[in-house]
Amino acid sequence: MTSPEKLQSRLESVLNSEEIQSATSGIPAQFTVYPENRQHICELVKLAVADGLTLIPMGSGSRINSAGEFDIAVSTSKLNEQMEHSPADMVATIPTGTAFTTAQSALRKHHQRIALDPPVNDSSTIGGIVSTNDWGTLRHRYGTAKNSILATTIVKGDGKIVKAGAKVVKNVSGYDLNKLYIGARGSLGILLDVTFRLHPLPEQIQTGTIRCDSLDEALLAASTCSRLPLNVESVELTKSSDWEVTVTIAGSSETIKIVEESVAENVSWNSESGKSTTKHKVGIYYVKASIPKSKLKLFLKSVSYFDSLSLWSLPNVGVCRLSFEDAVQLTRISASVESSGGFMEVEQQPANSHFPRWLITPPGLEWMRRIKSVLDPHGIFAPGILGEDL
Amino acid sequence: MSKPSDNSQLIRNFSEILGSEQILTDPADRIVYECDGLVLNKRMPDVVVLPRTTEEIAAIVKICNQHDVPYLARGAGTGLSGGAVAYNGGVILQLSRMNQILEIDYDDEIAVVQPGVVNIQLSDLTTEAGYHFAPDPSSQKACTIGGNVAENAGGPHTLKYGVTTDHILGLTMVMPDGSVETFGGRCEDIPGYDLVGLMVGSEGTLGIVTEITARLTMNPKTVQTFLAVYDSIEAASRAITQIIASGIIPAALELIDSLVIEAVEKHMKLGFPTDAEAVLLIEIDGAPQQLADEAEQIEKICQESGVRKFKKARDEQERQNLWRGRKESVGALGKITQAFYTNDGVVPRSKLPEIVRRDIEIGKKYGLRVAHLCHAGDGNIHPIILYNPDEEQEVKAALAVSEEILKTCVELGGSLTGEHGIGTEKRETFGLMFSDDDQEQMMRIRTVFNPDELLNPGKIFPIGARCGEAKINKTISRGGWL
Repeated sequence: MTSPEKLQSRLESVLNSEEIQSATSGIPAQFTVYPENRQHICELVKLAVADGLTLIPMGSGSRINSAGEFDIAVSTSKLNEQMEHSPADMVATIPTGTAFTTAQSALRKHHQRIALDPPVNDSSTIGGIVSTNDWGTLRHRYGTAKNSILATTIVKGDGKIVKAGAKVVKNVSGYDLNKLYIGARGSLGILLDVTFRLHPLPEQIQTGTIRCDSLDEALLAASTCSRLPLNVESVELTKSSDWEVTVTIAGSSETIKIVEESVAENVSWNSESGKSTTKHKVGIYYVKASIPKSKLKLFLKSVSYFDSLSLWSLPNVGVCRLSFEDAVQLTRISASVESSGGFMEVEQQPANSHFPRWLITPPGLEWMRRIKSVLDPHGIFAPGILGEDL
Repeated sequence: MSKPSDNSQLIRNFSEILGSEQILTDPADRIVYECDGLVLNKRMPDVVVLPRTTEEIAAIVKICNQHDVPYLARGAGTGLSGGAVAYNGGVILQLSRMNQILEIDYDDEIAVVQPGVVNIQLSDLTTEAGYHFAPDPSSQKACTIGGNVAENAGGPHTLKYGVTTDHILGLTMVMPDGSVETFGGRCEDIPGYDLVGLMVGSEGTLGIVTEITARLTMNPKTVQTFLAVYDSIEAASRAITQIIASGIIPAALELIDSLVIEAVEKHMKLGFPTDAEAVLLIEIDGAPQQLADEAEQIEKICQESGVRKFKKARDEQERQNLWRGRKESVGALGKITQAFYTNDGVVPRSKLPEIVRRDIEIGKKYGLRVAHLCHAGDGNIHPIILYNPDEEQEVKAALAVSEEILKTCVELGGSLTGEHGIGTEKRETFGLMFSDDDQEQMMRIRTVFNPDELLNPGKIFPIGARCGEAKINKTISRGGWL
């Protein structure tokens, strides 16, 4: 590893001193740098190649979640770039260092939005959300970033800037490299901007919560809600002490009656969108699991008796988030996910715990390694951040 | 593949794994495979094989590798960009015998199908249970799901429901090294790089798909379809922009111009107004209350944009007639021209009036008429250049018009192709959209999967000295579905 003094000197050869910060709490790197323009990022990548340095791309750093150590964390949050929004085309190209809430506020003025609602704080950036392919309740209706992103611009492994996709809502020109970059956690390059397909902001939202006595009852309510003749934005199923189903509908208060007649009478209503992603308790272990929908009930039953388990699911999609405190539970959950034919990722674990991010090997791993080796031939971009040499 | 003796050995090797009825060597049999939707430049494959299983495909690929012979997979041959043509000679793997729907699981809301299954068959089979396969290219009565995956096919209803990539969860593939791989699965969020997302739309250049796990989409609860008649394309285009900007996402929003209307009426007599400059076919679906609101809003927008007539399909029969007019309109163009060349550009939706105006101007400059069918809500235009194939000058003019239109699409911030793919047709214009560095990044990916470029060579990327492939002349499509 390069000494801090030498590394700082090398960084100062391509960046201004005010762009460089030494070790920052929570960021697994010797230095965090905040390049002010694209050219500085390109020069930094060339420096990394020349000196054999490792880079971890980031926005605010809140989503890094890596046990690895890197030489330099590269934040895009100080890039001096502006969002390009074309309201008539419902498309926006957003610099990745832009705070997610800032981008949504700007779009809201035109009654539009990015149809993503992952758990965020004020500093969470577009780049962090895209790089982790994070999602929230709106996934029920609108999918993930992979369904909304039309184009990307990245700095690739030789310091050159390349783009993929097009800033139009339909395009099949060339390979869809966007799909590789989304969720790659910066392991294939540094994302500079992404172009989103936008969606209209609903004029009114009704959110109802149904408390259920059992998992069976909750799943039935969730299924009924999904099939309502309404614009159902999301259906969430949660368990902390009780099972609850939260349904969010784009529409006027008239929709409330339809839900109460079709699903349950004891619905608690409010006019905010579902936010169960931030409601559940974040435990010591935090995992995301994806289960074939037909096996979801069996899986949920198998884990529902765990102590201190907090569970949040989009049953119509077959995805779950679980938090808990016991490492033994992690291995049991993993076994249950695997026997269901599903997959999971360990998003968070205690410092003294060393489970790999992937407890279940995904298909095509060797091809992923080959992709990493050709797009990042010098191994500078967050090596190992996904685990399994990726 | 030019020496007969080489073919003999190759065919002998194929005969060891395939029945004689699975190997076509007679020119009279192979001529069917000399082109897809592109006709002026043809190339018969040296051999056509008709595998039935993944294992047979893997064995065929290994034999091709041993003989250093190029090969490619082909579905129904409905593609319009020359993606399934053996321009370098070699072997075509015709996948029409791999046409089984292997599994339908309504609990998981998926179907597992072989690549030769015809698109519409999956929707027909699942409609009673309340489901369909959402990608609906106008060729859906003929095109295969394997072809849809290769080209990332769209269709009118992808405006709301997304293109093929949004509906594929898993793939089994024979890779160019002859190995069999599974990517994705029966659920979402497979960890790691999204290999399924990469494969869909890669135009058959990264591997041969042998099984597809496709998402089934619930049928809409209510559907309403409208015909809006306009005296000017500009006014119709304004309505399109306004509808989308209002926040309504129609299930489909199609524009048909006067030349196409003329052809449809000559061919089918569906009652489209022949004196109109353009008609819009607008479909909305969803919850009944929402539809009532949206219908009212759409009619208001159309009125404000100067619609001459706004009509709602009264029943399913009338709705089907409207869609027949749209989906069979390309075939109908044969009634008004000897030949036509179909384009597939994309522009930002707000640029729709401009691109239609400029297309017509470009056509006039070369003395040709340009008709328009557009997936207007997506900004995906299909300018159709009418020409006489017996007049060499008109053929050249049609090619020139096409190239100028595509250049204009890119100039306006759009794309070379929205759903047909680059293939060989547009590969020499690929550089209009992507720099050398952009292309190099994509070619690195091709190198990962297809290092020797024996699988479907000469597609997508411009031919350069590096590949040493023969320069292929520009080609013209014979029409087909849009």
